[in-house]
Amino acid sequence: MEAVGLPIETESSVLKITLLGHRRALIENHKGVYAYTEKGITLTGSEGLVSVYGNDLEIKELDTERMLVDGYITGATYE
Amino acid sequence: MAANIWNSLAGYVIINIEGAYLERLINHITNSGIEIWSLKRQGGSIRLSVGIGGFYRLRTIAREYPCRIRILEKHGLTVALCHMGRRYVMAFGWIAALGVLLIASRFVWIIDIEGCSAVEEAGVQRVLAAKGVSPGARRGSLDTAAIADAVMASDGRIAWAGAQLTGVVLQVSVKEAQEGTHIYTQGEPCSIFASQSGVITSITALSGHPKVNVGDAVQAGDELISGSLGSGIFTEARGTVTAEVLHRYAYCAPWEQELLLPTGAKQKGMWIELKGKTILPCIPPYDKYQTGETVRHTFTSVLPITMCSAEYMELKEGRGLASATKLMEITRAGAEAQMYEQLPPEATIISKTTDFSTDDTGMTCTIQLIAEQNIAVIGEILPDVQQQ
Repeated sequence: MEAVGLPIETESSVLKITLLGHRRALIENHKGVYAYTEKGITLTGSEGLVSVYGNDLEIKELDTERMLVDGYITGATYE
Repeated sequence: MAANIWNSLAGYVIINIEGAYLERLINHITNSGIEIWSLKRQGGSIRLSVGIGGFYRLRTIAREYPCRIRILEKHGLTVALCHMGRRYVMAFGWIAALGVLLIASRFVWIIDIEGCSAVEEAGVQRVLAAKGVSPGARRGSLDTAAIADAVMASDGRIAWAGAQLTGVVLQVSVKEAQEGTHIYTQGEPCSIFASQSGVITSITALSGHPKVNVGDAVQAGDELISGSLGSGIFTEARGTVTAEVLHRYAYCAPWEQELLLPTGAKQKGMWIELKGKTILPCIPPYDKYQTGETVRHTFTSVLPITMCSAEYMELKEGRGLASATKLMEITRAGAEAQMYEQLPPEATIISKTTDFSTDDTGMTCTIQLIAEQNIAVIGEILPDVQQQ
């Protein structure tokens, strides 16, 4: 995609995390839930595992590609 | 939002899944196309929401995993209907209530009459009853225009009546004719003249031909609006003309006035005050008197009382020379009395000056003011104009 000058987010398989302040996170193009606790959610993506950390995390919406997380989010990292 | 509404209608359950490999179970559920939402981890279990249809499929999938499912709550319209389905009496009650409501909405139950003051409301109700309009009348049989006409025709004091049907309420509005409403009728041809000299500040000619403009100086008797329109056509001149008019009021008073003069008799009076309030008053020794300076003796170290004394001097009515201050009061009051008597009540005072002058005979107060007032007076059309 980058070779033809298109932005990387146009690639459908790339995992995308959108943080809306500390209160909400939208994760798109995930491949499934790897681990889920109140303190963190680890998801599988095309490039490995990705974790979203925080407190009192709740998955408000979940489908095969998209996850909306509510709670107090403190960070997101690649494992 | 749409999904929420659909879930509320179709019904959903909140379940608790307890066991091992819960993440794998969640992935299995989502990959099977079952919609789940509001997932919350609680120690070794997950609480989540799932639609009624999805729940049965989820339960089948969950059998493959070492977990236990427990329904916590049931929500939605279908769930409520299912509950009611077993309560035949309640369902019948709801249907009966709905039926009664539908039937009742086809009739008028409230008749609201507004605007009645001089006209009796009972009279309007009688007219409505005669037209078959009463609580319980069928809405479809009502002709609001005919009702309004009947109410309007029933009483001469009703200038206008209207009827409006809103739901089960019939609103009848009445507008009463106002007494003393002035209706202009054309009078004899005439002109408008200036009653006083002044400078025109506004002129409004309702009929007739204006002869002056704003800013013009006019003398008393000048024609302001002519009733002659030319070519032998005459009309009743009507309109208002205001002008700034100079008014002067003078009042003269002689030096010698009826005054209260001291007779020379004096007597000392005493009274006692407690914290500034008189507790033992002094009875004045004369009918008309003036007091001299009050002397106070305080005993604050013993009691909070004050002993007061003053000299009472007897006064008697008689003619004498008034002081300049007293005479100014008298002349000013006289001039102002003239002003309030002669100035038209609708006049607006723009400026006012007060002067005093004295001579051997007495003092004169002169009040000079400029007031804006209507100066239009009706008069006959000037003969020479009428002949043109």
